[in-house]
Amino acid sequence: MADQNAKPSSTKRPVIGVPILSPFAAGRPVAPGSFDAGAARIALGVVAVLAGGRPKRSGSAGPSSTLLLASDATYLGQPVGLVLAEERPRAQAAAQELAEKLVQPAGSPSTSTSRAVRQAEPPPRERDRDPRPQLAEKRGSPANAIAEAELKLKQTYRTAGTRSPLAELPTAIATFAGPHLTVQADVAPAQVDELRERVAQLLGIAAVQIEIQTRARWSTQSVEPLARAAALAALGAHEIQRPVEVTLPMAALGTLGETLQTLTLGATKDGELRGILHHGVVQLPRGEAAMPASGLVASALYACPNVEVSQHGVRLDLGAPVRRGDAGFEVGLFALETALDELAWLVGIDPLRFRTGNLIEAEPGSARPLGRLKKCYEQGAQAVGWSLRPQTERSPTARSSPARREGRYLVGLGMASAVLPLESQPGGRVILGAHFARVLCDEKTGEVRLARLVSVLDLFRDGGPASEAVALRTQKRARKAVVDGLERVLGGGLSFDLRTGRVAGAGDASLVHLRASELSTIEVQLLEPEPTGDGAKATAQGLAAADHAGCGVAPAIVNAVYAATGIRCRELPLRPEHLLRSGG
Amino acid sequence: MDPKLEPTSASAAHQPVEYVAAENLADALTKLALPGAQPLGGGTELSDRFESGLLSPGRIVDLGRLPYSRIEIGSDGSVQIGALARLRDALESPLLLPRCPAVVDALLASGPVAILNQATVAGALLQSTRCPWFRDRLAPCNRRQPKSGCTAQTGPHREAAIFGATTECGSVHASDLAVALLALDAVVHTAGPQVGAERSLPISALYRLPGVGGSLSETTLAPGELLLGVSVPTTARARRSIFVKAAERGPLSFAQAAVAAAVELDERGFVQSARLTLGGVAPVPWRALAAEQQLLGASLSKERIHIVKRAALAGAQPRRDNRYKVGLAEQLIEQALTALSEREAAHG
Repeated sequence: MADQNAKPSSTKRPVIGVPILSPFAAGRPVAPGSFDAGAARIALGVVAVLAGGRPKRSGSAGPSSTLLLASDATYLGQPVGLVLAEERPRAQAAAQELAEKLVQPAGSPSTSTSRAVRQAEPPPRERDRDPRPQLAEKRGSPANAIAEAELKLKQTYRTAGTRSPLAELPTAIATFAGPHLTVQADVAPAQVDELRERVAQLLGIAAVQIEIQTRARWSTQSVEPLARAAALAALGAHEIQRPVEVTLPMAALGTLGETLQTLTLGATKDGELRGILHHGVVQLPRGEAAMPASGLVASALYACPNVEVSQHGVRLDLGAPVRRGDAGFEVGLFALETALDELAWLVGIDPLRFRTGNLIEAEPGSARPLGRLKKCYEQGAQAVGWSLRPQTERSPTARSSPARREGRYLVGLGMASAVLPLESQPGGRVILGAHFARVLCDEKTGEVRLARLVSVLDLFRDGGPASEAVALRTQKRARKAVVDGLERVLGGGLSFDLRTGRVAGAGDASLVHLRASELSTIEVQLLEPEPTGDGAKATAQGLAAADHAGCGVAPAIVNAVYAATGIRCRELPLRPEHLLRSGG
Repeated sequence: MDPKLEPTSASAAHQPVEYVAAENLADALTKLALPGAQPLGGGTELSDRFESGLLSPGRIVDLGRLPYSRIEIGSDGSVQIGALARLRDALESPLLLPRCPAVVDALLASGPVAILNQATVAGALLQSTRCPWFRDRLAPCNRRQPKSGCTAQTGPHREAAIFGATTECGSVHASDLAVALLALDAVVHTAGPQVGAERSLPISALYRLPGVGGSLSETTLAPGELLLGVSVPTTARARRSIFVKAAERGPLSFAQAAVAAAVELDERGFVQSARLTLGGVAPVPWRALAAEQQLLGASLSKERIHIVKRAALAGAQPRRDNRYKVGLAEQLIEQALTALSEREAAHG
């Protein structure tokens, strides 16, 4: 059915659909059908308003709205209605006006992982009770090993809730002709079938009824947000029997909740890792059973004989219909690589040497030695002048910093290993690399300036890319992912009004976008490809991994901040108040 | 320029808007007296209010032809800054830096180049609060929707005020320029719709704490009243002035805390008179009177600066998530006074 490179079939201007988003994180914000009354008061230009919970017409073979337009909102920003208008401003205004008419439901939504954890012990509330902790991985006896270790560290690391920052908002145009649905969306040709299946699932119709048209030769857009935009457009198109275009706003794409990661580490005085306990608490959206793996990075890198990784989910009313595939890796890596840095300082060993000394011999599941990761370390260290950092190792308890000064700024170098998931590969195959950061910190005002960020990534381990153009494209994608990762270090921390679940700062004010002048501080280097191998496979792997290159940027930055100031930030996003020393 | 906001609906924000240009002051005041009229200077504040759905004027009155964009020395020796002067013009004026460096510091901190090129002095002074809840039309906010509540008092409050907050509003004032001008005892000049209704008032009287006089308007301007300009006295104190700001993204962000300091020293280096004002911490530009008292008769020694900064923040009422503003403001005071002390030592 798919005609992947077809031109759009309809040149007629589509009606614009704008979803009405729930301003509350839980409950029934409005009785079904009451939108229609509101619609009658809206100025000329609104074609129709679809309300959540509208039952499917009996005997109709058309689409069902139950998965798309909720009558009971289960997360903030959930579409509860759809306004169709000839012009976008009209539709947006009407959707906003109708959202304002929604009445806050009784009861408080659950938006805070920390709060849910506190409230769940004991007695657990049925609503927020944690699902059973899941043991993700265990080898040896970490608890015993840590108890017997000469040096121990136990810390909790927090990442605040954040929007899923997408480079492009998902847009789709839907047209119904009889029972047949045509969807125009810029999906990658390879994902046409997946998109069709998902749209069919959301609408409750057969996939054979759907034709997907795409003009994109390749695309970074994920299927899920496109499918939701397409399905909403299809609902509208079916209702008014005209083409409908829907662009999902950022607020409709779900929110990644706060995570808490507790790391307990043990090491010998010589810096040999003896035990790692990594326990994560992550958001588990209502209605979903799967949790993003958050602690699985430890055994992919380090030769510690005793490792236990576990996590459990907390039910939050935030929803996460669109998740980044690397979300679990990113928060887990932030916690692990920050904790390792803390332990290195505690032991009194250069953090880079500490990591090198504890690397596994070969990657899990393969005999591939980690020599290429060491090359990443060497290349990155050389690029930022790691050997020039102050030689004096200092105790983490010492506040007087020997760090170098540049004017009013303290200078710090930090690094972290990068572990990039390869979702397409079974068995948790990963791509490795390292990030090195040089920061300038004003410890009096909490200002942090990134002077340099060098990411060295081993993206072509199974052979060189198909062409130089592919190599360049891969590097650009990796660079973009690194910038995204950096923006998540600086922004995205959401504060929720606990009564309503509303996010402080309407829209996407919490997101930070780097300026062009700031981007010049970022450098992405790709390790020389392996000379032999399958070019096509290497190209696919390299491109896929490049999109996750932001994993590990955060710990590199906070480790550099520590090296500069002696202040350890265990929370993301990094904010000035984290650096302000008590007492002024 | 009247900063008062009428609660509006989103659909109303997309109604047609009439554009008219004012030929002179009288014409402007007449046109602004009509219902729904809003003044247009640089447009940065107005467009922001439009986009936020905070305003739905039926008529925009362009003030671009009015002769209030000059920067010059007045007959009393003060620097006269026209309300319609662009921030960049003010920044580049040779008159300001030697006479009132704090104003130049504040202008530099007021925004990126694009904003400095476009925004006017009036817009910078009369901009409305950046409280996230004020701009979230679905959240309770007394300023936007009277008697709906103040989310900054009951919900997330990282950006909320640590001074001057009331149960009605806990937002912070947004203007950097106003903080500097308050430290320099600037005077603002306005004209109202009534014949001959021109007045001059200290800039401290331009702003209103929430609820004072039964109003939640951020300024004391009457409906239809226009800001015409600002006079900055060129005193010895103004010449020894400075403005510093801490913001997450520098000039791109609004102040988490800001400090303006101006001191007059005698020949022995003791403070004869002082002004210390804070931004980003209160619903109005905040004058730290107790700290000013601690400066009088003292030298700008490290020990004295420590006492002063503590005095400045002694009355703060922070909560958990905005407590950092206390330490931050203290550090900025130290930074500002130390810089003034070093300047004095360098230039004698």
